[in-house]
Amino acid sequence: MNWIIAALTLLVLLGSSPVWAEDGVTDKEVVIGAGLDLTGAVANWGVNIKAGMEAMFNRVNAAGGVHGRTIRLISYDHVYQPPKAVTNAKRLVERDKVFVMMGHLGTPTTKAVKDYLEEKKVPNIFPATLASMWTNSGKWHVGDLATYTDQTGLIVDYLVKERKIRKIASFYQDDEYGLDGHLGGKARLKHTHDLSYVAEVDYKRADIDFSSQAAKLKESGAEAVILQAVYREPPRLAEQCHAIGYNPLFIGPSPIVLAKTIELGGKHVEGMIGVEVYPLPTEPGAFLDQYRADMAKYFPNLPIDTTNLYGYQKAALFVEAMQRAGRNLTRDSVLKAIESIKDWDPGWGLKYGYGGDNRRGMSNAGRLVVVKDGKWVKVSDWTELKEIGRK
Amino acid sequence: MAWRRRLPGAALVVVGLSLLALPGVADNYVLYVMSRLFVYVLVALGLNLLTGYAGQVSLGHAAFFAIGAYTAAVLAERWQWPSVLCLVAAALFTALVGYLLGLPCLRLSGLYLAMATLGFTLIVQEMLLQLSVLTHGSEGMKVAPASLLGLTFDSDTRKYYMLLVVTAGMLLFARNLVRGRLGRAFLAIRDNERAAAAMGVNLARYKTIAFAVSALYTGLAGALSAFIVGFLDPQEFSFFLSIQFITIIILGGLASLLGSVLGACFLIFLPELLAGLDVWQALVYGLIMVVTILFMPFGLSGALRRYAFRWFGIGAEPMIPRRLGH
Amino acid sequence: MAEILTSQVVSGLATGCVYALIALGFVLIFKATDVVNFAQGEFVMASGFMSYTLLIGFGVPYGLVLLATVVLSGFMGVVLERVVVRPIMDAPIFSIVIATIGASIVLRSSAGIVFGYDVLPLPTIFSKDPVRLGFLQFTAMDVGVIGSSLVIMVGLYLFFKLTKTGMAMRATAQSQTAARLMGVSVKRIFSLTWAISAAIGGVAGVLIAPIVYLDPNLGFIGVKAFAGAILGGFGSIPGAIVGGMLLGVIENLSGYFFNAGIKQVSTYILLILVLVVRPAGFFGAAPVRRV
Repeated sequence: MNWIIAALTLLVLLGSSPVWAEDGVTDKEVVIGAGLDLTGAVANWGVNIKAGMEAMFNRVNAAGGVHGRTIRLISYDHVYQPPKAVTNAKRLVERDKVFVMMGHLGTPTTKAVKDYLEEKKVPNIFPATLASMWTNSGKWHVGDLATYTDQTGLIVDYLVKERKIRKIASFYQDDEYGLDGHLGGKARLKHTHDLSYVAEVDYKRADIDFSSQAAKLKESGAEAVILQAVYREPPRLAEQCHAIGYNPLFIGPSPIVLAKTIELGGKHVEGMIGVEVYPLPTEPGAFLDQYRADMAKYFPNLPIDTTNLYGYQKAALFVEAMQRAGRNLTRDSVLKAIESIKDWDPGWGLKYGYGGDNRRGMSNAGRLVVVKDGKWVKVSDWTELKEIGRK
Repeated sequence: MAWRRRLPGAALVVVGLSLLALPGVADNYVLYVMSRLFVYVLVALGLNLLTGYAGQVSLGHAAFFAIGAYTAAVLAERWQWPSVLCLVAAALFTALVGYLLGLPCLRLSGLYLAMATLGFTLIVQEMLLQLSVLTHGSEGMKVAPASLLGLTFDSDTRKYYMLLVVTAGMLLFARNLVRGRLGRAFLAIRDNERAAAAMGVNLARYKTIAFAVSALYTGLAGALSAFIVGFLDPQEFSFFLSIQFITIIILGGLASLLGSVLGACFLIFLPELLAGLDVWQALVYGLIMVVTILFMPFGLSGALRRYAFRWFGIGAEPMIPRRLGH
Repeated sequence: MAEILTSQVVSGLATGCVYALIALGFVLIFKATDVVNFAQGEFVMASGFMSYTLLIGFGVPYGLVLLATVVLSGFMGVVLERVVVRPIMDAPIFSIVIATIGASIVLRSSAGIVFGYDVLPLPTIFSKDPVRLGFLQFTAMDVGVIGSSLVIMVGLYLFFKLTKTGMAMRATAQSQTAARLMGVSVKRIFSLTWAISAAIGGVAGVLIAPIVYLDPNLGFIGVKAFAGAILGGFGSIPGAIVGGMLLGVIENLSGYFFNAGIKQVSTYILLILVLVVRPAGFFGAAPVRRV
């Protein structure tokens, strides 16, 4: 029987794929790929990012597409595992012949496919990871929002200047994702404020118990703990800290700002502060109205949340680039189109800007939000984030 | 009838020729999948030698795979060794580690052996993270494609041929091993250690050899995999990878070279076939796995042998292996 | 310092008790049928989802939910045994193990399809607020978990020691042939063993899900419990319990003194050391091997 499976598979794999002019572009259609985590440790982000992107694309397609081309999204699940991400990327590029890779989720996973995409000259646009590397890796990578390094810089400045807190600890995921913000914060503390972390406590991806980390943090006497984590860890850490009578200020960059964090943490996350790099999904405005309408229409079962707004704004950015590239759509032309975007506001009061070496999009906007009465509400106004490095 | 006896040989020739000709008709992605298949065949061969033939359960093969991969990668990156040497060194080093692991495991069997080897996998995984000076830790490590005498194996076609050649060679080697003295010693140990010892089989020696050879195959597979995928991340080399390896040889058929190949085919091809199913993929995969084992408890090769005998009169009714472990 | 250490130990004991319960499930099935049930972790996960559905979906009161979950889990165990294990009872052990692995994949992905892969908080009646008693610091949750686990373990002990069915199970574990000769329906005992194991897993699920959040990948905790069982000695019930608890405490303490990475492997280093010295675990008896 296995020979049958093998033979069938070979036939399926060998099956001819249609001929494209430029990969992923035909007269009527553009195919884009996304490697996402749909069932693993950050599935909440993956599922919602996909929905957000599809909501925007459905709207655009319903209106006839961009310059006569509809947009089709193909995504595969990498379960937040780098080797699967590599296989999926190959499938997207070589089988499905996608035009670009958009919104690839996860720092370690995107890192694994980085070289491959460069080698195949497939643009990696607006990956769903705000690690600083995507903004300075050359022509084929373009970011869209402020990086973790920049956001942590904002956090550090806020803690030291506004809250007058000098005993700061860092709780971070022990991989490329956690390190980005962790090291950025460390650099900021040192260069601008001449301080260092009083405790640096790490955890492994997908870890669920932080009682030892909580104990170490308490011992260090830190008044604030910066969280380079996603949505499972902050509630749990907060809970376990409170369980040993330790109540620091918890603060972290954008991945922790979603409804799920509050749902899991309940009263333990009251007062937790996060950094936002785009508006809250509940705010007023033309673009957000459109987003809410599209989500209600195409994904009525998904609550509106920062996670799907994240995907939606990526899609909006891409559509704008496609508009500017015109009918002659190639990978080069779409990259040039993105670079031509300057001071562009999709309708929410903040602007994207690229051009030249700047591949950072809306990198200069960050805002603090806090959990109050079970919701994320804004603390400060939009602040300009200065670009800082990790050294 | 004489022609029936030639059937397996003929089938082999047909398969061999098709494999050689594949790059002419298939696209790059297919070749990539096939390359991964060959890597897994090598692992399956190694694991089968230890667990299927010699009866020593091992959940540690993800670690051997990792050691082979990182050894080759580090040698290539830090000391710029030529690729062939990297491969050979990786294989030999892993074999050494396998031998050393075999020593404390001599007294263990069944579940306890499984657990100790599982512990080994986890410890190695952690060490890969801690030794980040060499391995780049959780950042991951890039690996440049292999090269030989100025020829770089950077295209999918070249990678495919590289793996085809190596795998075919190692398959032949395994075949000779299994049919020879070593193979018989392994089987004797698997079936009844005391009796084997009573008949003069030096348990310690053969068990550690089994570990070493098994580790060699798996380390080589790891090194090759590093060259064809181009990126290593300690997270890959987990307990679950070890479980996948065990699944390959059980579904394929223990103590069977054909089984190693078939099992690898199952593990690599099936997810590709199911890739379009999105959320349902894992469910269908699990169901197929359960159904397969329910209908073919001796693995795919066991079933194949049974039908080959019943329908074509080839070979003999397959010997039913005794219950392993406890 | 002492209070931090004790709080680490206590919370380690709490997690350890859950490991112990899951380990118990493994060992029961193993002793009776020689099978390692890789789907044990998934029983835990499934029970978590069952109680979530009943509690949140249907608003059933907590006590009833607990009862229903345990019964449903037991039922699930029997179904698994009949469908996946019984048909290949005579096949090599490895094949049965693979069957349970396949079953665990099916269970996990089914949960994913029905409930999505989102993480869900499961409410619990025990509060997680800190409690101080002298230099001891813990939470009501810790006490609740430890207490419930102990109750179950004592209950099981009494069951095996004093009831007829319990004795029949022990007899079957020792020798199926002898048990058959004594009139025990071995097939029924197998089903019962799986039912009890799954039910214990069910309790473990209700206890642990509020702590670690519920999602289809919860079953991976079974691996840790498995290690605990081996540490203590897979063939013995007290061994599995002690092993599980030890595992919980060691994890916590090594996480405190070292970093996250060492925490994870400390158990396995310990495990290997123990196995080298005592190949059958702390309490395990060297298996009698007939030639």
